[in-house]
Amino acid sequence: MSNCGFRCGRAVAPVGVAWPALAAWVALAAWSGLAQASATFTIKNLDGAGQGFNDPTPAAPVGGNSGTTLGQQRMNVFLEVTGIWGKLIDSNVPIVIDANFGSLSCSASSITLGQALSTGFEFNVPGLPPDMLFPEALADRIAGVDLAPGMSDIQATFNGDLAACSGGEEDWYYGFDGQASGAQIDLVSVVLHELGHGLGFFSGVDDTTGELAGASASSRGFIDSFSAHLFDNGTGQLWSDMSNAERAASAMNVRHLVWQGDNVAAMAPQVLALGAPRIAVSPALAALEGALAEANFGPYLSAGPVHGRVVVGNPVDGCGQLPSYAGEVVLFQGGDCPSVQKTSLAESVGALAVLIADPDGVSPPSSIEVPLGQKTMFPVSIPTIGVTLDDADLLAGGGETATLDADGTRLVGTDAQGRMYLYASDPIIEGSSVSHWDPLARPNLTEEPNASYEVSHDMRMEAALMRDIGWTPFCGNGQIDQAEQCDSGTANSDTTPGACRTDCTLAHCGDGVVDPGEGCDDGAANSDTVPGACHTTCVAPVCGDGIVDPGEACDDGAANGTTPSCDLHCNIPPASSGGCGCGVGEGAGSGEMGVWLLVGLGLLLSKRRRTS
Amino acid sequence: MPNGGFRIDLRASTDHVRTLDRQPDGSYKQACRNVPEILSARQTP
Repeated sequence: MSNCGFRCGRAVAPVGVAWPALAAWVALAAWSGLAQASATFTIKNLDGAGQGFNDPTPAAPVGGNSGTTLGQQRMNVFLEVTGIWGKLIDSNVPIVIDANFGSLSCSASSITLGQALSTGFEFNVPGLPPDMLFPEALADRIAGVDLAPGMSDIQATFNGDLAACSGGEEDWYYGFDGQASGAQIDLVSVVLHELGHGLGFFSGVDDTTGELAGASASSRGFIDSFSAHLFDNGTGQLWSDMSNAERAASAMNVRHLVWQGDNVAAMAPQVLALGAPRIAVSPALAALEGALAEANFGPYLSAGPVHGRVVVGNPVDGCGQLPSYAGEVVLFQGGDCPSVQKTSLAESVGALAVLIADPDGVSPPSSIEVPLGQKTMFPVSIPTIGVTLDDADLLAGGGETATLDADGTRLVGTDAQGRMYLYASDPIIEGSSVSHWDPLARPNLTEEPNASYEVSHDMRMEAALMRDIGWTPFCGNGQIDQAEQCDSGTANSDTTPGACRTDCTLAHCGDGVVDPGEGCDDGAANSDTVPGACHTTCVAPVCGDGIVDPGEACDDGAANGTTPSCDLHCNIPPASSGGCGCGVGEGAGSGEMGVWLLVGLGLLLSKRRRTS
Repeated sequence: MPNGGFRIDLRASTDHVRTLDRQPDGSYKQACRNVPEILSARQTP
């Protein structure tokens, strides 16, 4: 039951193209605290001959991807990713993905990597909770039927010309092992992220106006299955209870937009680190927002607090020779040298820590990440913390002493109640805000808005969120899921002795089936008081059970044979039956005593024979 | 719809497109944003 059967996480041969190397993906171990599920994906290859998935350019197998052409390796990545997602969600309805690799836009400042998104929302379909929008694949899963036959559930488009787009600077990494070099983009993690959106990790609410999807002149629209879990811990309201204006404000309420869902709440302590970074300044700055970001180099503040006067770097960008900053916290802003280099320089002149103003002027600040090569080149042992541009301006006023430390009681990426932050940003970044985790989360999560060099294939938090929105596991999928005792798939039975039952409970006394080791089982009719009934321990009625069953004249339980009222065979001894007509007065007592003397004598003789 | 109920079509959505954005120090950072041009590259069955 715990083994992954054929249907578990199965991806189906791409439609429209001959494909020789299926079932090549490596089965991943189940992550702690998350039982396996099962969903089937069908990948429809929409690329033309010689293009995208059909690109015949020879390629060397890499990182577990055994494809020998570019096209094969791309398809193998899709199979790998759908295999991972397929073990995390349950559905009886195949999830169909229209997929292609195309020529996507690129410029000197931005290259388009790709997108995957649900083809639609379903709502008010019989079988679905009313007045709530569900992305196509999830709606099918809940309804148990393909609600839009002939239409795919997700459409996915990725950049097939990444190398040319970036002038040869960047290219996809097709391995499954997350070992992309500094100049490679891990395709597995990007497709994992995008398919997460396609499966329901996205809000249908307009981030800017707060308007619900489906709104019209005659309808306020409907909350979607993702947005229904959004809660503002500043106002104490769910998004489903807010007006449009309140939702729009909440989308910008940085570090107050949290996820309300049991599965995510339960998973967070298993995934996230303790020790959320925080800052306090003296004298206090009332307007200080205090939204921080961590760097992927140097120590975290959980390694130890830092206390020192805040000084603005000279030069302010930190990209040149610095004066002594012994015992001080240095604030840098702007510049075009690597952030780790700035910290290295500051440490060399005695700084205790470095604050870096977010270059985009967005709150919360983005995580500060550099490639492994730069970390090796500039080893640092003091912390680097990102601050918002507004906070940097306040701190640049001078005179404040900062205490930077970690809240040892709080997970990195949650509020004080352990609820995961979603990406509320100020200003709104369309296409990014709300529909991602807050970038503060540590370790980095797949569905964060940004990623650079820290690749994540760990899907525990995303899988938990999927369960919260309705991708609940169902009994009968052959995998033992949360709250199930067993699951033998189609072998589950309510009539076969010893089988896992159809409600995924173990065969047990009281289920109405005589299982191995049971003498009887009449289900709810089992009784310890009704004569002749199967007992609640599934033991058949018997002389000595204390109940006068059919065919018994008496039953004193363990006292049978030791009292005059009932013998060991549940018969009433003649002397006490009154049948002789002498059971009255002293004579009866004398006769009873005589019987017991005879029994005692017999027992004594029996003992002597055994010991001789 | 064959099963009753209603559907909102999202096939023209340009949301949540993964991009690779150049940083001031020359490095790249992945981001999610709206990219209308994604529509022209998308194939339909």
